Amino acid sequence: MRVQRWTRTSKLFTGATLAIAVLLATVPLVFESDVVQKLTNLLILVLLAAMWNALAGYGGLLSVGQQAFIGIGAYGTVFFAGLGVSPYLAMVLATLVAGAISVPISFLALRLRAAQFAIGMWVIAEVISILVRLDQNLGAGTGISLIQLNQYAPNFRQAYTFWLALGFTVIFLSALFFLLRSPLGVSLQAIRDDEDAARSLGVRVAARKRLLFVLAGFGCGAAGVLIGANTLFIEPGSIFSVQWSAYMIFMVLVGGLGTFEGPILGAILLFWIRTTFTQGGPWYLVGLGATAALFALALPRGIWGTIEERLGLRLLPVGYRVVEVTGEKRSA
Amino acid sequence: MLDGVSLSLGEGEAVGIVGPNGAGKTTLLNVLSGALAPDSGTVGFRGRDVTSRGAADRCQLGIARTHQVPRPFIGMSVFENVLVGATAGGRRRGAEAYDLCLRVLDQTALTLLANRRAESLGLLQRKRLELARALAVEPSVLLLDEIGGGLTDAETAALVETVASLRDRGIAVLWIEHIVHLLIQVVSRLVCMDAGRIIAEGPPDAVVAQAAVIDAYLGGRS
Repeated sequence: MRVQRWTRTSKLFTGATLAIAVLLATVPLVFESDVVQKLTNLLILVLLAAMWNALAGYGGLLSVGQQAFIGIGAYGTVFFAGLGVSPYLAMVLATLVAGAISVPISFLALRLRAAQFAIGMWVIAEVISILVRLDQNLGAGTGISLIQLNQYAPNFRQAYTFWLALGFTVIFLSALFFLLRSPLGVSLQAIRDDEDAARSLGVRVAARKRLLFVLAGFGCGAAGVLIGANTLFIEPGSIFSVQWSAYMIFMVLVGGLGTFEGPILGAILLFWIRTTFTQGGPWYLVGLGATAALFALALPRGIWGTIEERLGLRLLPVGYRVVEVTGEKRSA
Repeated sequence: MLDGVSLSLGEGEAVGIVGPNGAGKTTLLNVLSGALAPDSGTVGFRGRDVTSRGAADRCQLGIARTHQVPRPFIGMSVFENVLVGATAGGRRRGAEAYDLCLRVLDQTALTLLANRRAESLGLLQRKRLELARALAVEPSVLLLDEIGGGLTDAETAALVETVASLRDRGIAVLWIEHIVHLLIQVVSRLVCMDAGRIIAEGPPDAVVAQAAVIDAYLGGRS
């Protein structure tokens, strides 16, 4: 009897994932800048989905206020760039600031439970949005352009932003992956399933939640930085919009809450929907809402959760398997 | 609700708790494990006051418990459930933790179910999982809440043997159980509770014989 973490499938798939990341790095060298911009958007969605999943899928923290950190990331970039810092350095600084701000916010927000926490986070996002609206230097309510990025030719700018997006996505998804594979991984999943039972087995629930909250603060901050860099114009109404939370919830619920692979799948699906139904409008939102509701009813584990359950498949090895056990299968 | 309960448990001692439903048995266990904070009074462990320490702290100190209504981590495998106890509560890492979990699974007859999602377990399997997770903590105090119900004779004998061997290894066991004949095979002291108070305490035979117990507990059932 022994404990196995890597299977042949997961080795193959993890290898393939790394290969895809390397291949993606060549995208700006091969494709036109509008393709690069679209793929940057896809990476942003993947990053956002993974971070919301870290919160909700592992910490049981249902936040509808992660746009707070998206906004801080985006406006932080404008702020540092305005001080004369080189734009891409400003983006890294803004990410660090968003992550740092999540620490004091966590002491406030994590006192709240369940629905209180969800609404509390929304309120925090609105408060930060109002503070930005009051600041003339940040364009107040009408928004502001990231003019400093105009010093780069569009092709180069798009390529740099894409590489930054790829870097952030790889860093934050790896961080979550290694966290889940570490000895803390089972503790985090235990919190997801039953917080009080986890506590009774020695899991320091508050500290673990804070860890996830801060990780998501950094990650959503990074996503905000990239959104700003990709659109070149930000205004409080859209960057602090609760719509970001709606997107995150959609991607994670449809893909598979509490699975590592699911939210990535959800992000690809949302990206496809957004590029196919470019007209947008109310029917597009109705469609998104209906799809999410349908999944909640018919496939509560989401696409990936269902596949994993039916096929006993694990592509990225965050779990454990006891081998040389006869007669039973995980999926049995 | 607890009222003036005073109880001590020595190393390697097994104590049984009986009493009617609502007597405060589980409440007592919640106070000891840190799931509930008492309005007054203290909980001490190895000479220090742990009243203000949370459940996670107390578990890491070596106080592990099971739940009367099992609370498995349903999205994880049986092995991963047990690993939580070994890594979070017992602070074991890597191969050391894995070996410990495999031993505990063997001890609780869960080896064949190791890779099963806990969600798919039946009630008795879930109860065994409760015990397995607590054992993986390698506790010095084990608080058991009705893990013996619904077992066959063979399973009962195995459970008694398991708990007796834990006791003999120096683990202090506090065991709430309705099935008195099961308890008295392991415990050296029996505590009878009613309405939040201890109404009888002593050697199992003496307590069972006491009229107060017969009224409060045994009489109420026949």
